[in-house]
Amino acid sequence: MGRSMNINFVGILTVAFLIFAMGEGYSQNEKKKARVTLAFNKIMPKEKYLTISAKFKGEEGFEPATDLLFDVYNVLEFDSLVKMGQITTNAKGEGKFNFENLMAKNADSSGTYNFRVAVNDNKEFADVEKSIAFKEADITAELMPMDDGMNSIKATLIDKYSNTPIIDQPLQLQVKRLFKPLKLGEDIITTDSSGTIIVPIDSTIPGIDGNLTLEVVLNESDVYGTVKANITGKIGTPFVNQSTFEERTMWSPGTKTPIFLLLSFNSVIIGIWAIILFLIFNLTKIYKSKN
Amino acid sequence: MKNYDALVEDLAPKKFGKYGKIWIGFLLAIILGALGCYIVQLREGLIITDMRDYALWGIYISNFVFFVAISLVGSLITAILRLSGAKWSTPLTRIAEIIAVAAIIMAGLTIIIDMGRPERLFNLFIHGRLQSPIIWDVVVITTYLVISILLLYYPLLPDFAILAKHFKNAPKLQKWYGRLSLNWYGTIPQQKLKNKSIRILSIMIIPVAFGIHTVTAWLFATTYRPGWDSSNFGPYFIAGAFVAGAGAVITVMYILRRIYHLEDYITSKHFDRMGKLLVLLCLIYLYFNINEYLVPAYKNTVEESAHLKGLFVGHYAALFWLVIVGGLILPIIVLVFPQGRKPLPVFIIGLLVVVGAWWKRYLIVTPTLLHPFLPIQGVPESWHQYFPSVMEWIITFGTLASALLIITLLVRYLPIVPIHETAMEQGVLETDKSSK
Amino acid sequence: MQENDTNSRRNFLDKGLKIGLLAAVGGATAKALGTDTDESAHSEETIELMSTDGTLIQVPMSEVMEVPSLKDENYNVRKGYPNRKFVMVVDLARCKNAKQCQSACNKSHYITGDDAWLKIYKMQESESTAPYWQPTLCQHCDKPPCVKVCPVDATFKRQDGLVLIDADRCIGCRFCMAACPYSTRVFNWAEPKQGEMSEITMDMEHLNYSPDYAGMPSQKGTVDKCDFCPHMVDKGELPHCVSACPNGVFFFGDAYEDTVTNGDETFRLSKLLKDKAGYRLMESLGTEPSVYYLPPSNRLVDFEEGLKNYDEFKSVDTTE
Repeated sequence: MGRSMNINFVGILTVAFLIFAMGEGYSQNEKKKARVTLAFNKIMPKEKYLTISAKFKGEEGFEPATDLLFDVYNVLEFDSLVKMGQITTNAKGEGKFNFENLMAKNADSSGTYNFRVAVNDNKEFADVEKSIAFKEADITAELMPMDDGMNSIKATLIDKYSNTPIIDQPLQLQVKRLFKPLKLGEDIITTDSSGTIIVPIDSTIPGIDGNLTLEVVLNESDVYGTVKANITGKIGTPFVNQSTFEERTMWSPGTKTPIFLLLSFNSVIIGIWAIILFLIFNLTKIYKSKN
Repeated sequence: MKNYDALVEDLAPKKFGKYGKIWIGFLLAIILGALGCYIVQLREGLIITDMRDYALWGIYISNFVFFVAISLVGSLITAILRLSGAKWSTPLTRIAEIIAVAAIIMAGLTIIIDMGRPERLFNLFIHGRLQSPIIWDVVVITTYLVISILLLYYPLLPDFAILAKHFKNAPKLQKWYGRLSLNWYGTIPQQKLKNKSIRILSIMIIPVAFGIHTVTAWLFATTYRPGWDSSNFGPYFIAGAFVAGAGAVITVMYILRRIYHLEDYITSKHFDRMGKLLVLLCLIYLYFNINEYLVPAYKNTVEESAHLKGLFVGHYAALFWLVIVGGLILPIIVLVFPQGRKPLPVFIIGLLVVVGAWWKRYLIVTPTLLHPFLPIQGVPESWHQYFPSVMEWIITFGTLASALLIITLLVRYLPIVPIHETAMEQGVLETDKSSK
Repeated sequence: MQENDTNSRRNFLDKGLKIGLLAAVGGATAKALGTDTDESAHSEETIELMSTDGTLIQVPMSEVMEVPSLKDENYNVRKGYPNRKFVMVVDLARCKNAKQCQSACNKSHYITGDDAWLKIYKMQESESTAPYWQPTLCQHCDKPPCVKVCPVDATFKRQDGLVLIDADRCIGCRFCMAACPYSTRVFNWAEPKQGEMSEITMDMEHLNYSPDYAGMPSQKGTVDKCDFCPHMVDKGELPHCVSACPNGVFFFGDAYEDTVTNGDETFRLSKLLKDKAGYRLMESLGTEPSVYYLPPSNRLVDFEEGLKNYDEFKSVDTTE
């Protein structure tokens, strides 16, 4: 019920936005028109933020709209706006607006949050605004050791407002990595009637001391945005450090010269220079031997 | 047989004549020009050379290898012939030692000329890594320089004493020769110490000389590059160095003989012997050349064949065959005939060998670099070839002129032919008066 | 005039320092203020930063948040990151010589010589086999022949696999270039002209030059090469060539995590190399490169298409 209402709401807003943006475009021809996308992200348990991405059509396709100042508003009932803060886009045309505490008073009666971002009186860009509506969901995840020594992960997706399981939603399981997460499993698994998935974990995945941080993600849901839960455990394989950095090798710094080289080289050099010094000493002996 | 006084008179160093001064002026002019170019190089960078990312080493390095090669002559004539008891070579030992010292000094300076940041030379001592062949080279060159100087100096002790007495009328010279003679009176303990030291030096210089050439060869052979990647490279360099060094001694001894009228001391017998020696050395070197070129040519891997084609029939063919035929085969043919071992033909061949040896090093360094494993792409067309720039030539000639200047100055103040040893061998040595 | 010059230079330098600050805070992200409506009316402490288009802007302190860095207090540029082993996979089946990698690399490392650090070779094994494009950069060998021969420890191997150059120490002997079989090292034959804007950044950067940002600045008479962009990795971002490639040719990652990504797709390294029969260049030399190649089979791109970009005699656009 709440869901269909939302879609209508977004649809109307989008149409309104398009008309608005077009009108602006005609009147302020020399100003650039920014295309704005908004997304809601939640990382369990507390981190919540809005990502703003702004682009404009330049000579070489879409380019990031940088240093664009947005006002962020909470849209309440009867379209009353409450300003929540400001955000400026970075070099990639992106901005991240953190919600430090998102409370029930920010939502409407169906538990839906409505936000709007707007650019006003910018020198470079035409005025633009964009709205987003979302509900909050929670993911709880836990690791379950299985009989055969393997582990599996159990994750449950719940609508926070109604405290009911969200069923038939695709959840992605992935491992946190340096750059991008590594997806686990070929198929996307959808939540069952209790909003839960249970997935066995491949034990061959390497991590420091076998520690892995798993992420369960509800990805870009129309209703809930992106929701992510992290869970860390000793469920992988410890990797083998193959670096020869601490060893004495031919490619080590001078302080880590291989012993055989150090000994053979220095013994030859010391031997030869001892003889040379002896020969120079002989010269002094010749000098001093007066008859 | 000359008497002692005539012999000392003959062999004592002489002032420069008119031509000597012109010669010095000529060398100084080249050196000054080279210094000027080197200052430009210090300011502008190595961009003033024709070296680039592919031809990353050029004549500075091949010239360095040439100097190292020439310096081997010190151990050849002095040490090997001395140890083998070949008395005929006595009049040549000083010349050989002088050439060796000059060449090794210039080898050290030439390698600095090639550096992109010469002012950071001290990094070699602060941050030196024993794993790098360059450090081995630095150590072994320094060692060889010290040994070469000692080997020049020890036999000079009695000569300095003789000269101090000889130049009674020139107090300045007398003072210096006296000091340098280190109180040499020719006493038995002094003689013993000197002879023992020379013997130790003669033995020790051989492994060190082999070391310097082998390590220099390893600068190339420790890389993967076709034409360098060869286990034959150490002995190949040593054999080549013997040839170059012998050629240098022949050339210098002919010129000094003419200028200082040393026909009584450096005789046609010496040229004959040196000619024979050179044939032997050329044959050994030829053998290593055959190894060096025919084995890879037989296998004919892609990389090697590109490299060898360039040498045999390609871009470097003319130079390659000129060096092989003119610097190696022709000397063998000419020198096997007794008429070919008369002083003048031996001199011409010696000169040919030295020039050939210089270009030979050029052919070792350059063509290999222009045949990398991956194709040469994405760089200006001019980077596909290398030929030294004018300033590069001038700087290189400057180093050659500096070596000649060092030789000239040493020849000015040192007896070219060892006086004491010659007198002893000729049985005219006056028993040292002072020791009586 | 002279004085004027130095003055404007000083100004630039001043701004330059601010760029540095901006770089230090990375993509400044804003921190929001909760629901209190009058929060925005607060007069806040501000900080002056240079924006990407070069103008100075006032940013409230609260909006500036440091991007987390991979470096910890024990970080040593000669040692590198602990428990990391950086690797790259180059999928030759996807490369059509778009050269975006090269221009991105040239631009971000201020390469202005005639020889790029990353080159896309036109390769063909033999006449009867298909030609292909082979992007080639420093292979960051685990047994690096260049490091072996360096007399002064100017080029060094880190525990995280990177082979870097300390341009402050290099003596310019070029032995490393002779030793490298992949021809990836370049020399600064002349004083590098790294452009006016960059010159200022350079001056500033030179004060705290670090080998983990090669080309910042380049120095006359020293050797340069690809550094695998540790300065990007530090920010959690991919090397310039990886993110610039429109065809996803380059995958970068940590071998200990067994994961590589081109930004869009993320694979398990071991599986990718097995499935696609990955290989390394000149394996027989025993250099053990950190760069793997996937053979140019089942190609999605047309080799011919790359020919229009191919310039045998140029790899750095000097007209800019």
